[in-house]
Amino acid sequence: MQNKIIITVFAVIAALSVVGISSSSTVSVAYAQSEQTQCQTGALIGYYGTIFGLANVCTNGHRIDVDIATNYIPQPGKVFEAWLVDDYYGGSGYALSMGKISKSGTLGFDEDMTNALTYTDIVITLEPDNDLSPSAAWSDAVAQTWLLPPFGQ
Amino acid sequence: MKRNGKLGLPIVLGVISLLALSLLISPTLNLAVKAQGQNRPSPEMAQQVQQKLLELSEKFRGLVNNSGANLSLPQGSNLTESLQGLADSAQFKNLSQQLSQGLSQLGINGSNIQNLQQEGGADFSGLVQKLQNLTSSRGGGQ
Repeated sequence: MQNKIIITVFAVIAALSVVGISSSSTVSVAYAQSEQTQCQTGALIGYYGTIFGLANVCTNGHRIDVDIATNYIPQPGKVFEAWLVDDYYGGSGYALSMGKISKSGTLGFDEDMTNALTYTDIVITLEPDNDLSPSAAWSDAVAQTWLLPPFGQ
Repeated sequence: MKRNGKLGLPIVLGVISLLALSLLISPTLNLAVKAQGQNRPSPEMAQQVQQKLLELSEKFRGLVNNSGANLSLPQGSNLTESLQGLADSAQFKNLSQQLSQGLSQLGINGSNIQNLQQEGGADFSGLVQKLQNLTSSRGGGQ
């Protein structure tokens, strides 16, 4: 009788250990997946129905690297400014400036964020050079692309 | 002594008036103050801008979804061919038509976009090369 109890206790401990090990490995895999860097390339579509440029975006959930290229040239006295926008799926509507596109038509942006996956879109606006306003000139927006999952959380 | 005290107030007021007048007349200071007032948005204005940007973004998504165009280019593919394929697709032509018609609905300034010029025309291979040069110079990958 006593032997049976001892065997049962050992069996329960062994079963719990197996469950514990497998669940911890599942968590590790999930963590590794979230830390894995994923890249996507999207066409920036001009609001007049043209291909404005390209945006290559890589993230591991925290770090985000954005490369933008365009062949379009802003009018004299104006610059293109790129924004990461968090607006879809009931987002906050927050727009983060990634800075202006250089005269050569490129922009490289990278940052370590608390959570980079909340963003859903990239919008390009036309802003006055040396603009004093930190806000986006939304009525002078010229192009947009969206970000695929894992973005949009 | 009492007489001097009586004179003191008009003198102070006079100095203050002169200073205020010089500030109003000074073109440098005047322009700086005006520029700050015109370009720095109030919190309410900033909120409105964000709201408009949100609406614009959602309208754009709606138009893209209706057209069936796929803006994402497959990873590891020939980007120039993929981009040309997108530009030539019936879905993209449909999107272009909807965007040009719906520009006013989007609430954006169409003349700004129409007046934009392209360096080297619609050369997709040059555009892709530009992106790849940027990505490789920054140590990234696609």
